[in-house]
Amino acid sequence: MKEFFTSNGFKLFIACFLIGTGVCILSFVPGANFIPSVIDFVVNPMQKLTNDMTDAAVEVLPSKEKTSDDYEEEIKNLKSEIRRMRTIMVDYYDVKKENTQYLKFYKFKKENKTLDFKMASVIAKDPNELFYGFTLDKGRDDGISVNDPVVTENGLIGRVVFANSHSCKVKTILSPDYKIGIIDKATGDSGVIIGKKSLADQNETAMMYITAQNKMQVDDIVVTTGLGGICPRDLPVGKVKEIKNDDYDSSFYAVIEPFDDIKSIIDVFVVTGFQGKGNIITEVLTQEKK
Amino acid sequence: MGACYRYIRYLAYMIEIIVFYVLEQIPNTLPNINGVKPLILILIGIMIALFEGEKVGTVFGLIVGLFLDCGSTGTIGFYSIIMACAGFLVGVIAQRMIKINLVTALLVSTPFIFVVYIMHFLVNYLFCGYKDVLYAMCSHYLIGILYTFLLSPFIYFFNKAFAVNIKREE
Repeated sequence: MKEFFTSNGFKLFIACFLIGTGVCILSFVPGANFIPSVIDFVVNPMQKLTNDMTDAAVEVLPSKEKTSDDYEEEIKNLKSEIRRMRTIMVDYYDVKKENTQYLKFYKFKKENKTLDFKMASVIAKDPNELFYGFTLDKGRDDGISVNDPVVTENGLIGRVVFANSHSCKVKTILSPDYKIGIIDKATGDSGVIIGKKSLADQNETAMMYITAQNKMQVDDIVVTTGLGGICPRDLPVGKVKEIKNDDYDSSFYAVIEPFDDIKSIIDVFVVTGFQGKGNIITEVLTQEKK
Repeated sequence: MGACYRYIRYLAYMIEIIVFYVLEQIPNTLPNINGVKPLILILIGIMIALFEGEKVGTVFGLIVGLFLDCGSTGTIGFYSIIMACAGFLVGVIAQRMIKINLVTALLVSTPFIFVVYIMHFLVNYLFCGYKDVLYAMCSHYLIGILYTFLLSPFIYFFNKAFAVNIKREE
């Protein structure tokens, strides 16, 4: 036991303990804490060097590599995100289309306050139809009846010839069956729309029974007369493209170009009510009585 | 058991008629030549009559005609009568006079396609007093006849697949 306490090792231990205690006490004494500074002086350069070396090593070495499972998980998540975005895009296009239709509806209603109408879309076209008639997705249950005019925001394009419960068939103004009185707004010359196949293929129709003394000019706008109460008055039909002589007799007729391409119509309005519907103009009746 | 296969075949024909009716009517599904599209339902009615005989041919001809009448803006009943007659005649010819193959199918179907289009021209155009008769004939009806005829081999093989595969083995 005595030998332990007198050994060199124990003495060295005691010395170190005392030195450490001394340094500790000194560090609390203001102005006497030079020892940390000395240690810093020695250690700091080495720390700096080591730090620089490790920073350089981090830049050179690659970051932690992802495993194939990580990549697969990431791909799966991205695909799911793409699917979700596509669904949102489809909804966006639907909403955008609906918005465009409502805008047309609002603009048309604003310009034609006296008309009651329903929006409809073309759902079918008969492949053997020569004058580009079509079927709409609204019918009797939606308030549509036979002879209701069919229009777009640009003007008249046809009338309903047959109405089912949920659909109706439309004959266009390109058809010879669609006879309606029209008038040149600029000159007052009147006539009747009677289509021809050769004109229908070019999206045109004919204004027949115009007088030889007509003053019609190219680009004049023709509108409906409203006689007979089948169509509202002053509904634009088209513009005059040419004035010609009929091939079969010497009468004049005007080639009318509608404001819409009737072959590619998609959305229309069916006029279900207007001022004067079903009423024949009194002057016509009076003249007939005479 | 044979009757079961027969009814399944008839169901397949009905689905075929409905699908091709929708395809024909919807805009921008089939390509057109000069604005003219083919009348595929006529071919289907004729081919069904070819493979099934006069009784079934008449009934399916009538059904095809009803579908065509529903889609057209012309006289209701026009196609029904013509296609019922066509179905009956094709069925009689197929069962009693010819052996059914592609050549005879084309030879039988061509005059009936021609007749349907010409009847439509006469009833819905010429007799209505419309002008541009020759123009309508050349720019619409002749093109329609040719286009419909060009599709007849495809419809023949399509219907042959039903007639051959959905049948009790003898």
